[in-house]
Amino acid sequence: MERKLNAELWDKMHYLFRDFNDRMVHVRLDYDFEIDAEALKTVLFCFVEKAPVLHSSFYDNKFHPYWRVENYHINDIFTVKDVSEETLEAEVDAFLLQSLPPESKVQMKAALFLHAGKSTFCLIENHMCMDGGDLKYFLKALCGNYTAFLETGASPVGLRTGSRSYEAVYGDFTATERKIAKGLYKNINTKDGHGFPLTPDTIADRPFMAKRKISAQKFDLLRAAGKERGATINDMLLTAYFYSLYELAMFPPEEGISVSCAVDLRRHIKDRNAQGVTNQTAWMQTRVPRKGRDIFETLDYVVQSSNAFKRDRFMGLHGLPLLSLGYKILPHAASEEIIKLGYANPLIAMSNIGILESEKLALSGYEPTDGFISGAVKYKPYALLSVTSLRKELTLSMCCRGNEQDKDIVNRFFDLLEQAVDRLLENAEK
Amino acid sequence: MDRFIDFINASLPDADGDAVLFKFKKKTYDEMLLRRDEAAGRGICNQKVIDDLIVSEYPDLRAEYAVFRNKEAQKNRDKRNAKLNALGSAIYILALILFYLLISFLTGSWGTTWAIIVDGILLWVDYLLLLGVIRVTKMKKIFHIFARMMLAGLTIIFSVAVYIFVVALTDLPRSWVIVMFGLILMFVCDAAYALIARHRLAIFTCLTYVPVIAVFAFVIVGALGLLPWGVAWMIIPLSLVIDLIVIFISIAKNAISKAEVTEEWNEN
Repeated sequence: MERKLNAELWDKMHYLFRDFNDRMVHVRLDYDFEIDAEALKTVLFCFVEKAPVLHSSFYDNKFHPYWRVENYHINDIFTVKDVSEETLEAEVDAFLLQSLPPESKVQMKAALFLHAGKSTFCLIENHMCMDGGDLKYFLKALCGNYTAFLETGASPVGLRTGSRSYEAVYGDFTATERKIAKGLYKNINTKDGHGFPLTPDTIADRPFMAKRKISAQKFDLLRAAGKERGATINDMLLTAYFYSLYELAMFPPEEGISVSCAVDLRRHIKDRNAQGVTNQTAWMQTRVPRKGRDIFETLDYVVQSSNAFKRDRFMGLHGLPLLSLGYKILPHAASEEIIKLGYANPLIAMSNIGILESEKLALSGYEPTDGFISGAVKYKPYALLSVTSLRKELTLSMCCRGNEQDKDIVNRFFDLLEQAVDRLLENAEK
Repeated sequence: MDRFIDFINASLPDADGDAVLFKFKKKTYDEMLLRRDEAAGRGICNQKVIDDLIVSEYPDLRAEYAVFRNKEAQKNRDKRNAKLNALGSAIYILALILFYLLISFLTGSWGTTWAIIVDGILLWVDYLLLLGVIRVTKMKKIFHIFARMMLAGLTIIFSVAVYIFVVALTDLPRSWVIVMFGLILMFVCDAAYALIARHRLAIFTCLTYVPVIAVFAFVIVGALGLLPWGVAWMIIPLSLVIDLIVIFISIAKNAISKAEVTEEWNEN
């Protein structure tokens, strides 16, 4: 019998983003031992079964879109490959940069590359199914269940299941708070024409991923320097982002620019045990009014801007009722057009996915030696900087669809960003 | 197969003669077997894992059974009510016709007794609409629009029934105002429904209806001569003032609540 799943608000929103990005979230975890492929396959099978949206195809019904649960074989999701050290990076890139259409019968793919006694685990999934927050949970559960399965024989069924509704964010509010939160009919998108200085779009453009690492030593210094100025690591990175953008794009210093930051709405949910894997992410638009005389003035603007958001009890919830109303009162095709009119996809964005806890990502006691999660491949002129940290080492990544020149631009941006980070640390080092 | 049976029996011990329990257990077991066949095609050979996975999909069988039992009971109640309504309707129509004929033959006032049959049928239609409103209200909010449409029909039909009754039995002048009252009642009921069912933006429904009701009130007041037409029109701008007051109170109330929440948030 055909089984259908409701297309939740964020599923539909991420589907709407199809003109801006390829919707894929990318994961790479490196291990210094050979992972048991059969065991990993079994765990993945159980998890995909527990989250049926991962083996469903999206039906863009003009009135009411939905997911249709599909039959699949585990080989459609999981592949194992023996590769040499020389070909590893090319294999990983080729795997990570593929895109799964929402109409395909699976929304997640994983690959295990075995090379010289080591393993590289890669995973891509459709952002319509879950965001970085739940993907981190998914990975931790995957690793925990893998270890328990091999060590104790416990069946790997420990994945949260339940509602995927966006309304979970209101669940822990008092009646008054809920009433206010559900009345926040506000279009939070303010258009800002300042974009990442990539080349114009061409049909020859291909997806690529650029990465840069910031050492654990610098991470500690950055945190300490931030603390002195009342700034978080996120504020410090955002400041470096702003500062390097001014320099890269040569925006006039007197002009204000905005960077949208992903906000995890799970901050409003106390008990997540009854929640299935889903999206609970909104944007907060951080703005600096001008470049500032030096990077510390830029930092002050960033801190002011982000603190204004943090003081808000309903951080990230503005605009949700409007979106929900848009999708509820009109047929899907019409609501998409209306929402597109009011929605301005941020040209420049940052997603701090956060800490990848190495001990929780350990497989049979082996912690990952390296790893990161990166957001979707953005189509020009949009750009998204993803940040994750593993054992305090930061990985900055940017996935774009572009050409060699764009790759150079992104690498130049990372150079400038590193320099900006160093400037932020100047006083701290002294 | 025993794994599933053991699990089902452990969660829900047998009770002699409990047909609903048996039905649920059989349904659950059949579902589990189907899932096993489905999972077998996925390329995983570990039967224990597959069985554990399927069992894990039923984290609280007792709660599921409670829901199933309630649904079954509701289904039975619905069936019984449907039968009673069908029978009751047939008896009602029959009794109505007999009553109409009896009164008509006894009084010989065939010119007015027609109202009995027309009103009787209209009230029966109203009763059916009321059942429809109750049924649809229990469904998801997306379907409530149909309940509201039925409720509107119900109020209009009711006012027409009253109008027919009055026209048939009295010579009251301007009795058409009854239908105007019916229209007002329709808007009032719809607004009340939106508020009680906590419909999104119900306040806007109310704000829209206030001036509309005022227009009908203006016509009624003028037609009945309660106020001169030259004065009665004031009802319409007055309704806009009421709207403004409601808007102001809502905004003020929201602002106070928001300030309280923010204050508490900042304190914490």
